[in-house]
Amino acid sequence: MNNILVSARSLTKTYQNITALNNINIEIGSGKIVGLLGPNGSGKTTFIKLLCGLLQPTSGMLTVDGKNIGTQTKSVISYLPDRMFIADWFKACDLMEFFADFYSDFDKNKAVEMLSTLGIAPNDKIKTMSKGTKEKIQLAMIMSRKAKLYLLDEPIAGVDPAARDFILNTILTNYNEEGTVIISTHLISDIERVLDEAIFLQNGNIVRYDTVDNIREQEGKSVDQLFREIFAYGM
Amino acid sequence: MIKKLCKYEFRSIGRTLIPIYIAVIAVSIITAISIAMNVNYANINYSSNSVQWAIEMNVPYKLQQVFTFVMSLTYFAVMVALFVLTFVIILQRFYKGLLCDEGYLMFTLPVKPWQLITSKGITAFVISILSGIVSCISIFIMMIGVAEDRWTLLAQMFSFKNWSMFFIRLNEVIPLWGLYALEIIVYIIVGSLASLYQVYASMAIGHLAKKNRILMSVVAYIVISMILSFIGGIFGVFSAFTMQNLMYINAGEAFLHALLIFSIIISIIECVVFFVITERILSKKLNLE
Repeated sequence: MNNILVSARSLTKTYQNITALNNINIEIGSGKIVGLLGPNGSGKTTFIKLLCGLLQPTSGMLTVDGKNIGTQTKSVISYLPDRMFIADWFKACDLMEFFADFYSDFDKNKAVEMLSTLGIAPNDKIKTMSKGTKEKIQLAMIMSRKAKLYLLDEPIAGVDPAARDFILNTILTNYNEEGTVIISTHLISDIERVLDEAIFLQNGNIVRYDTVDNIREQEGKSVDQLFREIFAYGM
Repeated sequence: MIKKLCKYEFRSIGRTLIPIYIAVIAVSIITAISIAMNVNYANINYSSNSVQWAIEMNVPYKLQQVFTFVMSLTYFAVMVALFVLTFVIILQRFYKGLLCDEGYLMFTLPVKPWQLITSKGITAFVISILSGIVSCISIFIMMIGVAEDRWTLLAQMFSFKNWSMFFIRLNEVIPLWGLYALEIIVYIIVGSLASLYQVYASMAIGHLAKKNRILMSVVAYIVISMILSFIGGIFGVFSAFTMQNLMYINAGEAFLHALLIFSIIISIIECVVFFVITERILSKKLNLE
């Protein structure tokens, strides 16, 4: 499929005098799982925040599904930030009602199903949940939407390996096949098996964007190894 | 969309405010009853010449007095809590609900920033009014408790005859009282909205700072207030001349109306300016930590 879902043209974002993204050009197609890889401070979160409209670009163009970032793109983007973003007084059922109210692509049955696998009852309060459960419930909400673009910012950082597997499986089994998933992370070995493509970000520049198969073929090594080479310190 | 946003806003606020509303009403009822009983005891003591009576009544009377004292303090405390909480909730719902972690959810919803700001404004305005109504009810309850001839007072307050007398007199003294009432109500509404949006705009301006955002919001609020009183002062000097002329031409009437309408227009301008500042900053300069 050659449908272009995300398109960035000379996209630049600077904070005061720090350049977080430097003149980025990229086109990402539909129906893929893309890894947004790079060390801390390379611009991963900035790119994701620009896509979901939490930041405005300093210069350049950014479109999702052919539209500038705005309410139309927000309604087709499902975003999981790297922190708790739901008020803790919510109950699980309030959360589902909230998502159903604002996103027409939210599948409530799917959400109920996912929560019951997690052992969460609709009347459970978010406040009483453990950190890991909170992260899982957020992921369940995000993945219960039939979105065109899923943006997952560090979804597996800070959880144990079993939870990591659960999260990756949830993403794999629930995402809308015509949509694209962008996962930002620096824990590459864990997610390498699910990726179709990989974007390598360094100091706000895209140093490489290729399919995982090509990387393996051309370099003869895994994405994880390539990452360690590109971002090696003091070499 | 604004309706849906308000729905969740009210749910969130209701959790904290409804209990305090209930507490205020409950404490005022108990305090009012205890004061009323105190008055009764006092009457008995004064009217009775029997020493026996006084000795018998003394202990419970003192206990009653202590209880009334404690309840009065509690009443004072819950009333203060009501006002402080209403104010804190208004600040917090904007700051925590939009500019902290919850902002990640709210600003990625398919709604425009102006809808978010409007829903915050509507809910804050409504809870201010509700808190005002609750405190009025509680003062009313206390009044009934304190007044010795409370039943006559109540009867007078709700008598149709008294009210119609009142309005007949009012019509005689101030024929245009309806216009005044309208102007004052409109002024209270736009005036409180203006001060509400001044708080929001200050928080949005504080958000522009890299760090110490809360401190910068406070600074922004103070600076805006200073600018407003400065402009107000200049206006005051210039308008004093025109107003003086008005006073000469016509008596107080025209002057008062002009003053009220002028204040309403100023408040509307303030509302619009603060709203636009808040909206622009949150649309273009949002940078959640």
